[in-house]
Amino acid sequence: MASRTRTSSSGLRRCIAMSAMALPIAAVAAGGAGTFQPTQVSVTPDRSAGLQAFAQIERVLLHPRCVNCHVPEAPLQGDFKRMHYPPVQRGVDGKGVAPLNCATCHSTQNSPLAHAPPGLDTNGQPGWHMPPAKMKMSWFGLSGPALCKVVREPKTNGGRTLAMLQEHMATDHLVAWGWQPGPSRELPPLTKAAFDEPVSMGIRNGAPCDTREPLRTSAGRTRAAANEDFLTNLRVVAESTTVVSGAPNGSQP
Amino acid sequence: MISFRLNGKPQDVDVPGDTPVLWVLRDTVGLTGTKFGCGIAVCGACTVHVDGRQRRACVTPVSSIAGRELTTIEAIGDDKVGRAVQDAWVRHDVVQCGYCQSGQVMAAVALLKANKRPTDADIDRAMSANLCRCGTYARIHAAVKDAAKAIA
Repeated sequence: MASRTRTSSSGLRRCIAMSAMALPIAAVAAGGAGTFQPTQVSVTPDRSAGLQAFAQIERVLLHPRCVNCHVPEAPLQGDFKRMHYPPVQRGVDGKGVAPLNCATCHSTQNSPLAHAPPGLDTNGQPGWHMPPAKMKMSWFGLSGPALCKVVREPKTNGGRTLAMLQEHMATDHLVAWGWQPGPSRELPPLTKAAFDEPVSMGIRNGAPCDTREPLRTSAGRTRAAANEDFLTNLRVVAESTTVVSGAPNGSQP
Repeated sequence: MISFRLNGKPQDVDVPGDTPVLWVLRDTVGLTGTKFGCGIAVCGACTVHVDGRQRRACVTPVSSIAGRELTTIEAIGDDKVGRAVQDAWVRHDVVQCGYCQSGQVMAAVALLKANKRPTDADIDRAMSANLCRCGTYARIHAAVKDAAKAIA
């Protein structure tokens, strides 16, 4: 026990040291806290370039680091979008329902050990959360033009203008966590800088979406469709369980 | 120096801020009722309450509880709900090896403080975050229901 004590404690210290070293990198990628400058929409937007930019953004949005919490109801976890253990609920504020709040297991920092719930520091306190109940910002089951519309429109993106949306993606520390997820978690398909660039390019070109696409205020075409998407995903996960459980670096929460 | 309230009394500890609360309790303060299980906040053996909400002490840096109220298994019987849970645990003879049980009791108290009349599903959901390798889940479930009746 004493040995484990020292190992775990020093491990956490190493984790903090690593986080401290990573912070300047994150700050540069985000443009620096307090120095964020939103991209202005061009007077001659290039619609094609804007659509191409969203195609890059979409690759990140649909990655488990993002979509695991942008879901209709309870969060998912891990690189395979599995059901979350334990079976937590969103709650009004997106921080869970007592007695199982996000902060019960998600502390202020990532553990250096695999399979531990990730952590997030918000003013010295556990900051892990998902979108609140009044604005779920669910894009699970959506892709392409449908996802573009839901992300772009203030009615479904948390009331954000394009500038606010860009600021969220560029500087929010939970978004940035996606690129510092701790051990045994897959990184998004683009680096943070390579993600920020198409966000900026998309906005410069008016953040276009397919205008024929209706705005979907629930995930999927309807709630029933969203539920069906969810169940389909679970079936896929269940069918791949033997492969997944054999993976040497399969991650948990 | 980091200051907080431990089981109702002021407590100062001179440790690095990233030291897990579990090690502060066990090694610095000498309260060993809170157990080390998995060390990655998955098993629930190290459950404590911070300002009445359950937390996994093994991943909670002590700096994050500065100025807050920390309650451990040693003092959980000091209030009505905690006492009712402990009594129900004895009545149902819940414990087998006992290693996970301080965490189980802390989780049960957190549940009953948040939800005085939990359904079977509420109990299953809340207590599923605490693992028991002896498989005492059925007795845990019955004891939580019994404790809920006692405080109703």
